[in-house]
Amino acid sequence: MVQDQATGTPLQGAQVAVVGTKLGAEAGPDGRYTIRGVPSGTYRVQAQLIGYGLWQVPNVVVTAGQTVTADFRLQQLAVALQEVVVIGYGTQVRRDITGSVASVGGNDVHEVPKVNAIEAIKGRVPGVDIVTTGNKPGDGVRVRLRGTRSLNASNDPLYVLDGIPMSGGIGDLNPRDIESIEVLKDASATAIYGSRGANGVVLITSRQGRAGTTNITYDTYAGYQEPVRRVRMMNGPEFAEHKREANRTTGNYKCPSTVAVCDSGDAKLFWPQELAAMRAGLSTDWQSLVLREGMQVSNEVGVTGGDERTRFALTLGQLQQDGIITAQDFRRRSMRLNFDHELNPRLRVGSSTSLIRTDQNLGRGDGVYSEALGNNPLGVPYDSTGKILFKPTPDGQRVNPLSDIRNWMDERQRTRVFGTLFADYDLAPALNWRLNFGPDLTFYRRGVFRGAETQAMQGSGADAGLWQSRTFAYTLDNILTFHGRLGNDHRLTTTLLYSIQQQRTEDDTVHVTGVANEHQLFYDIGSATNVDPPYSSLEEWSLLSVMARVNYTLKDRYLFTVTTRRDGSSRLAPGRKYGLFPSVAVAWRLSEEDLVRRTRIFSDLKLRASYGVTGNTSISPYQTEGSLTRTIYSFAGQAAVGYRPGRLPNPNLKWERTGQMDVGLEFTALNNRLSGSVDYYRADTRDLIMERQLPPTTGYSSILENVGATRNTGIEVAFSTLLVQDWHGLRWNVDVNGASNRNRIVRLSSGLQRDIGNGWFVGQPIDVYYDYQFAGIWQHQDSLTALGYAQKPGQIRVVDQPTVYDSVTGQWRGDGKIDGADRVILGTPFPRWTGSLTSRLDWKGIDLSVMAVARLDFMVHDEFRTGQNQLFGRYNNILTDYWTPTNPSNTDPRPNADQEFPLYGDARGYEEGSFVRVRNITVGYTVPDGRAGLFRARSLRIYATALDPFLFTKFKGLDPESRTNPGVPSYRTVMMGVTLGI
Amino acid sequence: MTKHTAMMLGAALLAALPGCVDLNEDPISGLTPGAYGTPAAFNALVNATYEPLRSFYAQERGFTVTEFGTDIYTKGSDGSHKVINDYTAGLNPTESFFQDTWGDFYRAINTANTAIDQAPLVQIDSTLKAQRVGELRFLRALYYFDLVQMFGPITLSLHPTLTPSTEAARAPVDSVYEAIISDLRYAEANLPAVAKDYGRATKGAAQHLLAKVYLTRIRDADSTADEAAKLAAGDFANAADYAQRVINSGQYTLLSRFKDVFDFANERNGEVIWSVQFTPDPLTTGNGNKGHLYFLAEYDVLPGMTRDIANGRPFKRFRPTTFFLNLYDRTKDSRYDAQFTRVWYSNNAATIPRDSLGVPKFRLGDTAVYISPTDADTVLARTKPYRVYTPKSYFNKIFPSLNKFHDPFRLSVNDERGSRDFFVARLADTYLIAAEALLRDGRAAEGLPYINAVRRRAAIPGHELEMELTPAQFTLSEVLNERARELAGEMQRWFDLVRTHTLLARVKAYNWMESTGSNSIKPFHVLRPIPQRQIDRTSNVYPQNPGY
Repeated sequence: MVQDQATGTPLQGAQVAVVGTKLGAEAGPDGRYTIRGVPSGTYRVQAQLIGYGLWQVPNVVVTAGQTVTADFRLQQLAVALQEVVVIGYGTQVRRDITGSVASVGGNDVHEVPKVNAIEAIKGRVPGVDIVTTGNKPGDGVRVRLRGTRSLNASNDPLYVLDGIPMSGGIGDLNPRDIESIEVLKDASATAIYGSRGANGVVLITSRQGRAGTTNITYDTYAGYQEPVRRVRMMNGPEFAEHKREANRTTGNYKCPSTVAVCDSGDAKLFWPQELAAMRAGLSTDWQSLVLREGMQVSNEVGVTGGDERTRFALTLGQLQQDGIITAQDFRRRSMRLNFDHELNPRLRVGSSTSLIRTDQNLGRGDGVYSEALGNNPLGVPYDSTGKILFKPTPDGQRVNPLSDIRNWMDERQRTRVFGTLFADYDLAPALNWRLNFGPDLTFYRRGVFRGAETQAMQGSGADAGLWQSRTFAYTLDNILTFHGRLGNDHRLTTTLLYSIQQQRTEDDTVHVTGVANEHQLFYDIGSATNVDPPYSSLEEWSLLSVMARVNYTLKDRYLFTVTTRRDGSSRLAPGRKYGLFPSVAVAWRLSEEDLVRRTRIFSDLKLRASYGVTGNTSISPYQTEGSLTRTIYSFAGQAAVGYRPGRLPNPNLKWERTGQMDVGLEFTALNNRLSGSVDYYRADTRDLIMERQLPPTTGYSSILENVGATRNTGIEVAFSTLLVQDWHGLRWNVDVNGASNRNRIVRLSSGLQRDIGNGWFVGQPIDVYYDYQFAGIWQHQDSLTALGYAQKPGQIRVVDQPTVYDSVTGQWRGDGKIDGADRVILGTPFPRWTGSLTSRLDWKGIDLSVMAVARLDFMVHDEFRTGQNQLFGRYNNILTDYWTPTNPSNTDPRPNADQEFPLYGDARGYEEGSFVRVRNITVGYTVPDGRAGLFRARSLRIYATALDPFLFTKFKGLDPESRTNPGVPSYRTVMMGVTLGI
Repeated sequence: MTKHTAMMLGAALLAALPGCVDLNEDPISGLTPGAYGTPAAFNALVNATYEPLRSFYAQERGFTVTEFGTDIYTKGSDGSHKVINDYTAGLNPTESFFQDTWGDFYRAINTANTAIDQAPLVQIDSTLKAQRVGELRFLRALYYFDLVQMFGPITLSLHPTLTPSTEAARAPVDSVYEAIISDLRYAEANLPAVAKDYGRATKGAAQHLLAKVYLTRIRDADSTADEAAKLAAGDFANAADYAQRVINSGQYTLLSRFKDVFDFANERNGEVIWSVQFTPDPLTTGNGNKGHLYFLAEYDVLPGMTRDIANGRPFKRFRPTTFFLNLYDRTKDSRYDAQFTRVWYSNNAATIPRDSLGVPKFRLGDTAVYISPTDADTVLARTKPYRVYTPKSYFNKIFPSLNKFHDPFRLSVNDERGSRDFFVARLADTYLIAAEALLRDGRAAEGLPYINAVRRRAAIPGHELEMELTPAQFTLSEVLNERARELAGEMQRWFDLVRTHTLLARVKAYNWMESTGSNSIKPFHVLRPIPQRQIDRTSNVYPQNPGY
């Protein structure tokens, strides 16, 4: 008899087999089975059923003519182990996977209502580092899997939507269209994508229809946004004093010797506008004038349904975000239709199509905020009639940011159509052929208009420009899959692929100055007085690939995967276009071993190891050919067009290859209440494609070359626990993720240990801060020493590194001057640790989830400490404790009107960037089934979410994650939403 | 079964499709080095060799490294490169004006080298080819000449870069000068007296530059030893010879009035030997001539004034030193009035000051600002309704403004692209070179007429004779003063002081202000710092100039 271990329920359909023979039987409805005709002997008998762990009974002694009983109590596997996981060019059941593959299901994807779909997996998968690249509405994110490998070629992972590699990224995708996201991290998983797998692969499966009744869902949320932090700039009196001090330093602020401040000095130093504001006690907070309460609203309707042969899913979505800077907004309207039909039992066809339109209005973009920060607080924004004053003060370089907001347009429209068409045919019961065709069309139009009263135009004439591009890309895959099975012990899946991918992009640009009427914006370019030369270009690339993969499972216990892919890329030099990318992986399901099974602790325990080679060819086309650069000169007033050497050709450019080793352990234990995985990996990248800087005396600045090798090593840990299963209806899950990645340069092909010109140092990460080391401010008592460095008290002091050996003292000392040799490696922007913690509580329909993410131990260069801290008495400055003859500050130099950029000023900006941020807090209530009917609904959930509500860090600027320089600040969002099913 | 066959056939067709994919690249937009060898590509390379002139001449970068930190110009209120005037610790190998000049000029040299090496293969008329190579070698010489004056020993490459080498060495100053002279001699022999396309290099330009090269060439860091070595080597004789070839060629004449030289309506005048070309067309003018920006005082915020296109956009970078302003004897020398703006007329009714009854103190078009050359006018400040500044009250925003490059024909008030040609070689300079070369060659009597020709021309009509120097007054120091009066702002000064070993003394004496005290200049500042970028990117040791 075969029963469920926990409930004792008979398990119909369980396969019982006598190991080592072909004898076997299937359990009936009562769980009973009978195997006849077993010769005498001692046997091992096993039973298995999908969703349950294998169970074996050893030492079953069969004697001729007698009936022997062997009962099985199968243990149900964790749901996760049975789930079907997309692995690229096919699917696999979770427990059969040999590589490091992380899945994020739809619920987790949708829990955090972000604009960008990929942000949904932030904090969900160890080793995936996602950083926002900007805070303007519609800005993207930067995703790094297991660190940064390449300097010049792209480090972005490959995104694959429903089997089609998306060359244009997935930023346009509506997050609600996503059913699940799989992240392939180790080389055995990514090697099937060969030349593009080195940075990891993110597989996205879109929402599919299901047979059964037609479901209609309606999702909506609305929320407001506000800056997480603001920068404390100087107010009017603080600014005035800093301006005085800057001019005292240069001798341009003169007062009778007994007083520091006097009217006669002020009268000469300040503009009338400033003096008026000082007398009136006015102080303009420009930041508040450009910031507003942002808003984000989303509405979406989904319809899914179908019958046994036809299924469909349709979603319509609309999202609007008004940024926290006035006049910046983003809108996305999307439609997606998934459809598949079974023509006959052997042939299925289908398609999924997305139509997406995004509109981004950015105005002056990040510049608006920095303009506001730099503006003089003694200037006023409006004149007496309430009109915007274009120049709040006579300063030629500062304009009213409100004027920029009003007169500067930057409108970016993207229309994108992409999808998959497939035919899936069973050539034979075990042999399947699938054809995928994925077209991807993008139309992009950017219109820029800058009125006369903007920072760019400085009051004289308007300009306008139109940038348009059309991209057509497609992927065509032929996939043959063979599923074989030999007895109960051998299972084999073979996948063969033949694939091509091509892309063609056309660009054209026209730019004019002297727009006749400002109300024409960029819609009547021909009427302008001056048209710059129009520009157009064409760019094409293609990739041709074959791939084979074999998955072999022995006794459900030993799993093997062998793959190999051969890619040819048009972007590489002739003779070096093809690359071969093999991989191998083995896994051992320890939980099938008696020793482990007897402990009854683990329902699943798997040890896996893999090694594979992947590539990177994400460089721009035509890099191997060299190029000439157009120049313009004139003779006798006539144009003299020229071409000069632009880029050196590199006929030797070849594949950048990464060999990655991964060892991992996955487990599910304690009645499925604890599961997790631990991975260790080492990825060696060689023939790194990098832009190598050349001495200017060559006449070139750089060349793209294969220049060396890097190594990334790291560990990744993920635990998921069900702390409380059912305590008066309470359920509590906690997930913890952690990852550490270490990156270093192993070798430079130049043979150098230090390549200062490029900032590359063997043994160090490929991105380091190499600069002078801040040592405070020169003080009066050190003025003689300062003089030795041609410096004065009040100036920034940097460390004179000990580069000279003093044979008298036997110690190293500085050489008495500050030069290039005094620069040192200060730190790296790569975090040592990243991690996250997610807690989810459910109680009678009420749920509360909280997620926190951390990036620890990394350095940022805080440009607020440098760029907004020039201390030269002209632009507004962050409030700093600057040095004066009577204030011996050790953090910032004395203001100096002659010194727009304080000497060694950059050295002030290096800061520890570690932070912990509460990423989201969500409270929801799912109306119980019975009561949902009251609202004529099948299901109903309401929720409130706070996104990025809290940030904990010592960083002094706006945000160590996404805003270390002046630009649109990061924001927090508070929103409410409803999900309704009909 | 038929269906099955059809499917298989379809599969076979699709599988065959990849055969169409061509992995060879064909860059359609843009050109690659594959285009070399044709007459069109050769001419394009020649044109491209001219273009980097516009990255230096008539740009802030060029003015700053040649006028700033000299005896005649010091810092105004604005700008990010005051360290170049002050010779403080910030004048270091990362200073962008040196890094960028270095990079742009070596790029230009590589362009010239590419074209020169291709010339033998190109099928064009041999005379024209020799002329084009003459232009290329003239330009290469000019780029090297500017570089060697700034940086001393530098990398000398006379062939194009074909492989990405990271090794580089500094060639001795002498070898660089030998290469420059060889290039210019070729240019002199092969260039026409008059260029068919105005703006291309000519024989006269090559001769003028040769004269200047001989006069400039430094043979010893010690001034006395240098003088003796140059004399022995015949540098002065050569300089005088080449200058006289230009003067006697009959191609050029000194205009009769100094102020006409910079007459915008007549910029291709008889005194111009060779100029960097700019046009009023934004499509062909590149960066434009930006000289109109930097020497201008902040007139636009004063009562009764606003910024307009006729008066210009004041960057207030360079302020004339007291020493410089006092060099002019305004009773007989026309050049003070001719090249300094001292009066602004009201163009903004809104800001005209009013008296206690609310009546405007002056009207549009009346004098709003007067920059007086003498402190005697201090009294006017109390009696006149407009602003009066005298030397005592000049400050870093208000000073007499050099207007040689003034440009009211720009597209808009804030457009930085001026359209004046920038004179790199003009005949008055050739006269002063001849005078100086003959003086230092021991032939003062022969030289005196040359300097006096320039001085007579500069005289206020009727004062010609008073302007003439006596033989006793004809000294090197006076030649330098004369060059300041005549050539101020024309990107000569720093080079003039360095080649005459007078930079240190003159900067210490004249480039300082009461408020900030003495200038920090040190002897090593006669050479500019080798850009850090060059040192960092060179795999062998690329030595820095001493002191930096």
